[in-house]
Amino acid sequence: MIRVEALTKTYPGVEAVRDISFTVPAGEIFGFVGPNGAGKTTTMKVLATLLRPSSGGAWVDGVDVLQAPHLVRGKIGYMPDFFGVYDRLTVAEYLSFYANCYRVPRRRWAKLVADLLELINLPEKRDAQVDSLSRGMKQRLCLARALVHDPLVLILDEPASGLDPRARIEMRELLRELKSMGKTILISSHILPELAELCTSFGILDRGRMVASGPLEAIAGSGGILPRIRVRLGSDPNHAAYVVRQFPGVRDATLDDEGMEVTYEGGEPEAGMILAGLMSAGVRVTGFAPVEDNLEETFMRVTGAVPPA
Amino acid sequence: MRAVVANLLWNPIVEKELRSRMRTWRAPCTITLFLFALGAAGYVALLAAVAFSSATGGGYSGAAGPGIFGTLTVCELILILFIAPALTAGAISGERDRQTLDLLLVTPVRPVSIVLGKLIASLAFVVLLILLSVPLFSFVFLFGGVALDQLLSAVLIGLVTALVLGSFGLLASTLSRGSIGATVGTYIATFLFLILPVVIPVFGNAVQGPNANYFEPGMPAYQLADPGVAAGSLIAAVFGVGHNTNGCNTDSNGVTTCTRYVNFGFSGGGSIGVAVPGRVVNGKVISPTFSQPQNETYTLSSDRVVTDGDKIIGGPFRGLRVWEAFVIVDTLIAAVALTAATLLLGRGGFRKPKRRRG
Repeated sequence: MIRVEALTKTYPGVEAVRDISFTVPAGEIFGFVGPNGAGKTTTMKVLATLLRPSSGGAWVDGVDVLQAPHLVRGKIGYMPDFFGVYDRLTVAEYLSFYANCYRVPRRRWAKLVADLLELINLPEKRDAQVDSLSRGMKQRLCLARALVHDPLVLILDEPASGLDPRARIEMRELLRELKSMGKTILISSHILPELAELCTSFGILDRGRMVASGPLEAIAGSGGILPRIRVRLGSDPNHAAYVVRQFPGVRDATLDDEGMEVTYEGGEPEAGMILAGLMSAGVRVTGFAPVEDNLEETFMRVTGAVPPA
Repeated sequence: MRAVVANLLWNPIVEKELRSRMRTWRAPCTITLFLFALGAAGYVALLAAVAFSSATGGGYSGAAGPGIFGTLTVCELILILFIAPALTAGAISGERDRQTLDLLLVTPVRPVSIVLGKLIASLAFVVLLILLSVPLFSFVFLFGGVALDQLLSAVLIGLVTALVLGSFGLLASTLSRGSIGATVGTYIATFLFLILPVVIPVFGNAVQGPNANYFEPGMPAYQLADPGVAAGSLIAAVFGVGHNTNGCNTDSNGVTTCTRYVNFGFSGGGSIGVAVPGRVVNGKVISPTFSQPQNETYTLSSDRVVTDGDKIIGGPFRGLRVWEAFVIVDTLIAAVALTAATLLLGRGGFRKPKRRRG
């Protein structure tokens, strides 16, 4: 549904994006992760027909973004990272204006506005001035605005930035609902946990390059990311660490207050061998579980960068 | 057929702009101030006409109507010069400031529709102002001396002035990143547009020396683009003031020959000499001289026009009224500015996006 190939965008003196390629199949939710300035917004603006790349290409639903931007515009709903609303318009007028821009027939506006406000949970604000809404409401309204023409693809640049926790949860619910509606979504964030459960696959960007992409497990299992096991101990930790370090596949074993964390090469069978080895060496194991890599940690490991708070 | 027409008329921008513009206090305030300023100017012109006629000891002179008409026309033009750029200068850059431009550019609304929509919405407000001023203008008919078509010409000059300045505003608005820059740029462009055509010849003379062609007959054709020239010629026609010309002839080769009445001589006995500035006849400068009033025949340069009142009698556009030429030239200028604005707006990534990371 979305295809980007060898996309490069340079500004004088700055290389915003370099040689980025990825595809998002229909119905998938692709999460763009990376620190500020990594090139997420630039890539999304190219897909939204707002920016011409220096080289490379992009396609939405098989249509070339560079050759036929006017056709692409009808297929995508775009929500930029910074957006404004018009003053002196009511919520209904605001949505109707964009419905008109997308050539939705006039007779369908009233129903459309009602449906969209229902979706974003703001039906009582129909006649409120857009300016008077809270930030979270404006952000949801902007998402509704991107949906007026029922697009196949949504390009959402940091839809939850600047929201308080409650508004963020509401936004997450909304995105989940869109997912269930079968939209293909490209979403970016530098606040990682909010993406982890929502997305089917990820692209990790750093300084204009795609550092890793694919489903979370695939990213976690490649590129120097090794599986880890958390071991709870009922006996001398130093002895346990000594024992475990003797195994050929084990790279590292660190001790902390809660026990030991073992980094190793391989998969489940190797983990079983480690457990068996520990037992036979007399180490009392009270807990033994693989560490579930969350997106944030993966991200930190892959980019070697500390994600912003 | 109906679908085609509906497609051509489809412009969501116009509807939205008109709606939100009339919701501010600025719109009624502008209208009130506009009418107040125009009414005050007309009242002063009326008082002046009354004072003049009583000072000269008789009823209303024939100049009362033209006087009020001229005052109102000039004042309306000046007000439009201030209002029209302000209406469009913020049109695109304001969307940029408000961060709504991208939201608009990702819709199927084409850049040309955005530019035209903004222009039409702004011009609609100017049309409203001009329509509201018609009752004031109608006072002129109480005194006579002004024909209906002359009044309509004044209205048209005002409209086309708003069109061309509005187009400048849109172009500046597209070029500029912020509204303040766009507004300043538009007012500078407006000022130059009004002043330059009139100043260039004078400036040229200053460079070339005192005997240069200040007195070359006619005026440079590019002055026809100046709304001030158009309004001035119309007012001159209403007052019945013509050029000191006795007509022009254009031969089959396109060479125009005119005759003018020269009255640079002196009266009063001939004992005191009056230095007469040099003037150009047939490309030669006639040095300061004393002459009896006489007819003088000269060949008109191809880039100059000769007018008689508001009629163009020689050079390009001959046969048209000055205001007709103004309407043609300035509509073309507006079209060029609007085309440029559309192309700039359509070029994605024209400007490096501001780093606005929070």
